[in-house]
Amino acid sequence: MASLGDVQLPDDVDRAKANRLINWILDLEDDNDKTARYDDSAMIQKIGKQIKDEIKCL
Amino acid sequence: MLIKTITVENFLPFQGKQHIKFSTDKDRNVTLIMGNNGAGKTSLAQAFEWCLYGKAPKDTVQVINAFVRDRIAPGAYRYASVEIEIEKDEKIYSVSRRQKYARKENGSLEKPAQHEFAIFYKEDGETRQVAAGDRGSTINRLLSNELSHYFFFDGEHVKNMRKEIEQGKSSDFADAVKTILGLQPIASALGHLKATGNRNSVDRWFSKQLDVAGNADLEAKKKRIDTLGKTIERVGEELELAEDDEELAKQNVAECQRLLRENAESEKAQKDVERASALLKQARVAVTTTRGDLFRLFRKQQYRFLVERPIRDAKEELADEDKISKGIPSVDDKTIRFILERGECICGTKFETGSDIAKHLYELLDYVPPKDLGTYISEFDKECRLRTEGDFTFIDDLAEAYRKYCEAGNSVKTAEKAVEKAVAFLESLNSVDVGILRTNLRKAEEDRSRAAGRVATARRQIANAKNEIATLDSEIKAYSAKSKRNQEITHCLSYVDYIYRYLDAYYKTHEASTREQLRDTVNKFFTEMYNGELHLSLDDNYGVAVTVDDIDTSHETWKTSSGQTLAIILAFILGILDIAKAQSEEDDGLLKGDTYPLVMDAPLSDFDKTRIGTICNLLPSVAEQVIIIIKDTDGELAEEHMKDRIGRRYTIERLHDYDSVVKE
Repeated sequence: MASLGDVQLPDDVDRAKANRLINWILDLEDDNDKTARYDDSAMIQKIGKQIKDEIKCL
Repeated sequence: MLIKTITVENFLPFQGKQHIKFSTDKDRNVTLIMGNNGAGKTSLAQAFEWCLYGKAPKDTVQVINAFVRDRIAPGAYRYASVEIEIEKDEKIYSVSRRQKYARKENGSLEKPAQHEFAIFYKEDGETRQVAAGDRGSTINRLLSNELSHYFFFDGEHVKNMRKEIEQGKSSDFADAVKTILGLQPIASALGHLKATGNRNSVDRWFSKQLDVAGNADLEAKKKRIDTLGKTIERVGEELELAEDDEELAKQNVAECQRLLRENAESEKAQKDVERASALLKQARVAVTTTRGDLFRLFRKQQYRFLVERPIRDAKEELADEDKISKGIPSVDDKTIRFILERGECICGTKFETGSDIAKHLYELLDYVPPKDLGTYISEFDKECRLRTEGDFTFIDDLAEAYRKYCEAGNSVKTAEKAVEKAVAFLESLNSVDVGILRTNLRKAEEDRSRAAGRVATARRQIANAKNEIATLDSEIKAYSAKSKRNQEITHCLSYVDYIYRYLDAYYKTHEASTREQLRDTVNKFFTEMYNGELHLSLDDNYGVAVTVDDIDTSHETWKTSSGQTLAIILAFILGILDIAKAQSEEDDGLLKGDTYPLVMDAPLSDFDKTRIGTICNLLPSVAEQVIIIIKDTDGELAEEHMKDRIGRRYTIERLHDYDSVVKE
C-alpha cells in the first residue's frame, strides 16, 4: 500500500501551496457531497480555476 | 451539530404551540422526554423529519391537529407547523416548515397547500434568510437526508437498517458511512482530479488548454492518448472481471483442496477399494487361466490315460501267439477259394454252398494270407507304441494344474473379502466421492490458470498503454514548454498530479485503518452491550457480519434476536459517531468527520434492565447530544442510570383526544 512518505514533491510544486489547495479541494468536495450543488463538470472547472489562481499568487 | 429547540404547533396531537429546549450542555447532554402510550411521543419524533426533510409521518395524510382542523371556520385557515433551531459551526439555523389548511365557504376543507419551508441563520449578529434555491443544500449540509436515518432512530429505521446491515453490499450504504467518517470528500476529489476512460477530469481540463494547434503530429499524439485512455478503461474492466474470476477460481481451488484434505481418509479408503478390486480382477483372470490349463491338459492327455491300460492288456494278450494264430500253415486264400468253388474238401468231403462247411471255410479266409491277422497286429502294435511312447506324467500334471486352479479360486475369495471390507470401510466414512472432488479440483485449477493468464495479459496491456501515454505526454509537454501559456498549464498539471498522488496515498492508508478502527470500536460497544460469544466483522462495503467466536458466518443467514439486532445497530451507529467525533477534533487531519446528535424514539424497549443500564451509560459518552423519547416505565430506568447526564426532562401528557401538551 502506498504511504504518504512515498509521495515525492516535484521540483516545480510548492508544498505550502499544494497543502492549501488540498484543504480547499476537500472542503469543496465535503460541501458538495452533502449538498450536491455542483455537477462533475462544474466541480472540475472550480478545482481547475482554483489551482490556476493559487499558482499565480505569490 | 446540536439541536437547540423544537416548536410544534397544531401538529398531530399537539394543540397550539408546544416548545422544547434541548440540553446542549457537554456534560449533561441528554434530554429525556417521557410519555404514556398514545400521548404523542412518536409524533414528536416524526416532527423532526417532517420539518427538516418534509417526510410525512407514516399512515398520516394530514399533519394538522384534527381538533383544530375541525374547528376552522368557513373562509378561515390555520397552520400546522414545526420549527427547529440547530447550531452548527458556530451558526444558529432556524428551520421551519408549515402547511396551511383552509376551509371553503361551503364548509369543505381545501386541499392542503404546499409546505412553506424557510431557513434563517444568525451570523455576525444579523439574521439572514437562506435563498429558496439553497435551502435543500443547506439542510443537507446540516444533516443530509441520506444520513438522517442513522441519527433519527426509531422502529421503522431499525427495520431498514437491519436489512442494510444484513445485506451489507449497497454502495450507497458504504458511501454514507464514508461520508460520516469523512472519507467521501477524498474519494470524490480523486474522481475529479483524474478520471479513467473518457470521463472529464481536472487534468484533462488542463490538457485540453495546451496550445498544440497547427501541429498535426501533436494532435495525432493527443488522439492516440485518448484512444489509449479508452483502451485502459476497456482492458481495466476486463482486468476487474478476470481478477474476480481468478479470485473465485482460487477460492474454488482452496475449497476443493480443503474438501480433499478433509476427505484424505476417504481417499485412502477409496484407493484401498481400487487396489483390492484390481487384485480381485487379477485373481479372476488367474482362475480363468488355470481352469483353461486344466481343461487343455485333460483334453490332451485323457485319451492316453484312458487307453493305456487296454493297450497294455491287449499287448499282453497279443504276446501269446498261439491265441491269435487261427490260420492253416501253408494255406492261403486261393486254396480256400478253390475248395469252395470245387465244393469238395481236401479230405474228399463234399459240401453245399451255404452249408456249415462253406461258412467255416469263408471264416478261414480272415486268417489266411493275404488277409493275415499278423498285419493288423503289427499295425496295432505300431499304433500302440506311438500313443504310449515317452514319460506319462498325466496324473501329476493334472494334480498340479488342479492345485493351481484351486489356489486361484481361493485368491478370488480372499480378494472378494478384501474388496467387501474396503467398500464397507469407505461407506462407513461418508458418501463423498473423492474422484469427483479430484475432477473438480483439476477443473478449478484449469479455471484459475486461465483467469491468471487473462489477468497477466490485461495488466501487460494496461502497463503498455500507460507507458505509451507517459511517453506521449512527455513529448507533448516538451513541445508545450515552448510557450509561456503552455508552461503555466504544465505547471498546473504538476500540481494536479502531486495532489492526486498525495490524496490517493492518504485515502488508501486511512480508508483501511479507519475501517479497522471502526470494526474495533463497534465490537467494543457491542461487547459492552451484549456480553456474549457474538462478535462483529466489517467487509469492504462496511457490511456487518455476525461471528460466533472465530467462526465466520458471513456466508450464512445468522438469525439474531431483536435485542441482539438492536444492539448491533446501536453499536454500529455509536462506532461511526465515535470515530467521526474523533476525526472532527483533529486539526491536521484531512478527514472531514463531523458530530451528530442522536434522536431516539423508544430505543430501550427491546432490552432487559441490565443492558438498559449499559446503553444509558454509553449513549451520552459517545454522542454529542442525546434526545430520548421514551415511555414512562423505560424512562424511569433511563433516568436512574443517566441522572448525572440528563440536562433537561420533559413529559408529554395527553389531556384529551388530539390534545397533548409538553411539560418540563
